[in-house]
Amino acid sequence: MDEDLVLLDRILTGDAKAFEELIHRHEQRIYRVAMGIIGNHEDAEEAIQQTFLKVYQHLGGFQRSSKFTTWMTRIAINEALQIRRRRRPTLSLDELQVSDGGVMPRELRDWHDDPGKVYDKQQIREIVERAIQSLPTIYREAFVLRDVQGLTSEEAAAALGIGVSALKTRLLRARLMMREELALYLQREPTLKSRAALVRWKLQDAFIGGMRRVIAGRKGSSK
Amino acid sequence: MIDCNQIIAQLSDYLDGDVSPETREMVEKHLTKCHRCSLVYSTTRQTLRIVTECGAFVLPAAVGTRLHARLRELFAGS
Repeated sequence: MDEDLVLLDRILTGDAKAFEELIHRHEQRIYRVAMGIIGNHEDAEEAIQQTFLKVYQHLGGFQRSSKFTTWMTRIAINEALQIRRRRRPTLSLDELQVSDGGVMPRELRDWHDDPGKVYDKQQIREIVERAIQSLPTIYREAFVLRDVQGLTSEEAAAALGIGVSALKTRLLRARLMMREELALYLQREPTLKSRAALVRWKLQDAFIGGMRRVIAGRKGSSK
Repeated sequence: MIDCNQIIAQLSDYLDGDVSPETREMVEKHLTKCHRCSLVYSTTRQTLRIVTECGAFVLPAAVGTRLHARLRELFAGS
């Protein structure tokens, strides 16, 4: 039997520990969904709290013919959309614009075969997160649900309340925008952006190293 | 005559394996001849691989702790 359903049965008999386990199983997934739609950590935190609260309140009404994760993801998307609407009642024209023009990509230089030789894992994650956050909202939500969260196009379209073909149009643009943004860091020839990032990381490392030395010095002198 | 715009329009579905055999053949034929589209295809594929592998938006530990504490508090009161 599906592990989620086992947990659901335990929760419905009043087992609070089972709900904690359910949160553990899904908190990462829900956080990604919220980040994809809202784009900032503070509001994403509120969205995951609201999501689990709603999940708990409506657990009894969950139809077991559908998949639990899909049901929960839809709740998370609704909560995130509500928070976004509260913060920004209308999206800017720029964010709503889906141009029908050509989508021919600009950056056409070769990339490093292995980005891991240029950047460490943390740096690559930072580059990717910044690139995702730089996407206009409608592209970011399509991209996160589909390519970060791994929903199918049908699931992502249903969750966002749009048709599959609109979802696919946004996804194509989002992927090409992501590619252009990553190209600024990953193409073989260094760019202004990749140089600036490397300098920023060096300064951060130097600052953190300096702070550690100061703290270690204080601890040593207080003994 | 197939132009590059038509190929790029199919790129996303092609990457997802969500195209008909005829479209797949058309795209693949074009990619072997067009350096520009081939580069866009390989770097877009690489983009998706990097995004998948990097594990973006990891839940910060402090957020997880606050989430559990807050929900525990709510349920204790309900």
